[in-house]
Amino acid sequence: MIKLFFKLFLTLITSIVNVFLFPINALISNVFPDFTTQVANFTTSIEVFVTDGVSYFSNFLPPVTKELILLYLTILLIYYTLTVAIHGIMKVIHIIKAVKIW
Amino acid sequence: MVYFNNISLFNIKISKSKLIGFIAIVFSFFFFNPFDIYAYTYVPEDLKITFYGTDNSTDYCEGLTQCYNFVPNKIAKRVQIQSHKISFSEGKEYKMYISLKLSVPTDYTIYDYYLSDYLLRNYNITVNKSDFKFLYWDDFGWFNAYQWDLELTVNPIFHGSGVSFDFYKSQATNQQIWILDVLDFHSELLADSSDTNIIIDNNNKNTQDIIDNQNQNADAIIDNIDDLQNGLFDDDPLTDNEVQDFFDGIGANFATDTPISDLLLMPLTLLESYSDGISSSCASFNLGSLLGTDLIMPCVDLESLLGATVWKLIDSLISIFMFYNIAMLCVSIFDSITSLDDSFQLLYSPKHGEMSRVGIGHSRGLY
Repeated sequence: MIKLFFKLFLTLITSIVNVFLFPINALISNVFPDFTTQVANFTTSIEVFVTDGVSYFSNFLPPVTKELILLYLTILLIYYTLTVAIHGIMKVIHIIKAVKIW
Repeated sequence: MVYFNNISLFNIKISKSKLIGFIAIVFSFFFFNPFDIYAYTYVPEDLKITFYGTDNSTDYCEGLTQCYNFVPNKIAKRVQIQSHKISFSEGKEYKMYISLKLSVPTDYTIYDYYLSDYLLRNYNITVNKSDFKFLYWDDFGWFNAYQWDLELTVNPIFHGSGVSFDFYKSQATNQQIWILDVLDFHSELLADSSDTNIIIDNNNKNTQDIIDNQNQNADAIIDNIDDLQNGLFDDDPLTDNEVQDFFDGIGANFATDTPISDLLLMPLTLLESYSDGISSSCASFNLGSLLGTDLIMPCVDLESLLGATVWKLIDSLISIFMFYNIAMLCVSIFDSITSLDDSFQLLYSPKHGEMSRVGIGHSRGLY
């Protein structure tokens, strides 16, 4: 349940960010194809290493502890996401109020 | 304004010297590995399927153990499944097992397949392979499923890495989904490799001859497929270059590469990796190669080493600590959220002649 909620929230954030970054991604991937390939290799390497590392070292932790750490990280992730989102929305509202086109 | 409150990870303040000491201990454990390593299995994480078309264009499908719903190029004939992360040490003998299941729509045909010269170039191999084809129904329609079970005995001539598997497909009238399942793809270092007589062919000319012959065979197979397809698909309207260019143009407009998103979302991806990692079973950890020695941490099952009772006791104690930290985190978040009221007040700016809501002598409670 915790993992499902965690994945759901991650997917939600990823989808929203990808929608906003779609034009930038398309531009960069077409203008700098080699850079795009290198970034893909870099991110894949990091992910593979971290996944392998976590898979290995998580065996040193008891099962309930692992789930509680995931719960802790989930709460922390939700909190920071909401805080950053509210911060960004307020910035936008401040800018809109400062323009005063009406 | 909203600030991050004092929420530290697990409420532990780690000094710099302690952190350096911890990292030093962890790395010393890596390099002075007390475990006796005699065999390991390794599943490559960088499997890449490449579709080579007649116009030298390539399409890629990169996945861990499955490429699902992949739509290959219509005109691609040669398909290559490759992994570059399998590393072999020179002079040691390995057993390698590859089991692939490829599901293709029924209007495709797989003509031939072979282990590419990438293997022959660096290794002496013997192959025991079995393959079979069957038809089955999926949600997407009827599929021809090809399954290859390969068992290789590998004696690396040179220290190297990588393995690839090629096959050839027919041209089809539509771009349809393919599904590739990597059922098994691992290697085992044989324990008695020191007693094995390794046949090493140092004659580069002979090795080059093998590679040349393999390339000639590949060219001949492609020519045969061309001849067959010229007969089979003479009236295929989609072979027209203009139509092909049109579809290729559409595909190019939907770029799937997301470099900026990948970089920005890397922390979230790593968190997802943690989520996936904690549910995995006991596995070895490959640290890479150092001075010709593979640094592989074997699986350590602490529960079996310590006993179930001690393990549960440790679990209970750490869980109490974690519950405390989660509770403190919730308190901190509640405190932070309740202070958001100050942030919303910043949105209100008093007009001229209007008394400030938070002026001297006024409290917010009066409003």
